Amino acid sequence: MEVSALDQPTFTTRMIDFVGRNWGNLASVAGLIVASVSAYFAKRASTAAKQARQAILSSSLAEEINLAQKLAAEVGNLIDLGQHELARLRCNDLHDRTLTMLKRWEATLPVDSKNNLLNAKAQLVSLRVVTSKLAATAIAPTARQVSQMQDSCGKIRDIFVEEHASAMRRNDEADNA
Amino acid sequence: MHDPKALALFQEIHKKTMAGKLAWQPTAEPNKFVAPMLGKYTLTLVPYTSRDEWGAPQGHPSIMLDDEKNATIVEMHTGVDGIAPDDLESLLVFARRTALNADQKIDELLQELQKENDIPF
Repeated sequence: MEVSALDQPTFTTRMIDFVGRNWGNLASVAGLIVASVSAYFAKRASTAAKQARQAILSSSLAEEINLAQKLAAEVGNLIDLGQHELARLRCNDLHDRTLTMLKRWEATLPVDSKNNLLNAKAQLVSLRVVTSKLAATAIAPTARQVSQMQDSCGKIRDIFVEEHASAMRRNDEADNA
Repeated sequence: MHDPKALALFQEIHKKTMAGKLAWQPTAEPNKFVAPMLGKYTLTLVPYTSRDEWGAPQGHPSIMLDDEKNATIVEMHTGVDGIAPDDLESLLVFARRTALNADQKIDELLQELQKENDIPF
């Protein structure tokens, strides 16, 4: 008996038949593709979130250093004006701020930056001792004492300027990453 | 006082300072120098061992090592067996040189003085 073309299964019917028999496998493959795409986008989102967080943290550190930099300039001005009692108070503020930065950003700051901040802290301790003595005795400082205090203030200011620049650079690097 | 760790640390500090490899920094106090290390320790060199009740400095120079919590963890002075007063005095001299960039200035001065000795022909 001759089989007519109309009796042959069409492409559509074959496809329906194939899907009917393999729907489980096809669903698994589709699920796998969807999961892979989701994982890819989740990873990208996670990386972006990490970068955003790092940028916010760096920006916050830069702001903190910027404030310390202003305080350091104020200490220097007070020393120049011979206002030792006020300079001592500002030294205390800046010392506490430096200590806070060291503790808060312990995990983020590189060793060089930590050494710089430790140096600033030590300079402030010394400056505090000298200004305390001068304020207590109300004796005018010698030219050498003034010079040493100004050098110390200059060093502290330089440290904060340098650290502010480093924090800003880290910000830029995070933005460009 | 027998303190082998303090002595070993002092010997290393002395060696590095004499070689100009320890970054001592001047402070607002005369002859007091500091050197932060490893981002958590600070070496402080002062020209005395202690102060009397009037605040007057006494004894030879000494070094203190402070940790990140500001606690003094080691003190190096003549009271430690093996640390000689001469070593502490020389340490102070060389720390001052490093802190004030004195070597560079001395070389500059030497060059100038030697130039003046040259007889022009």
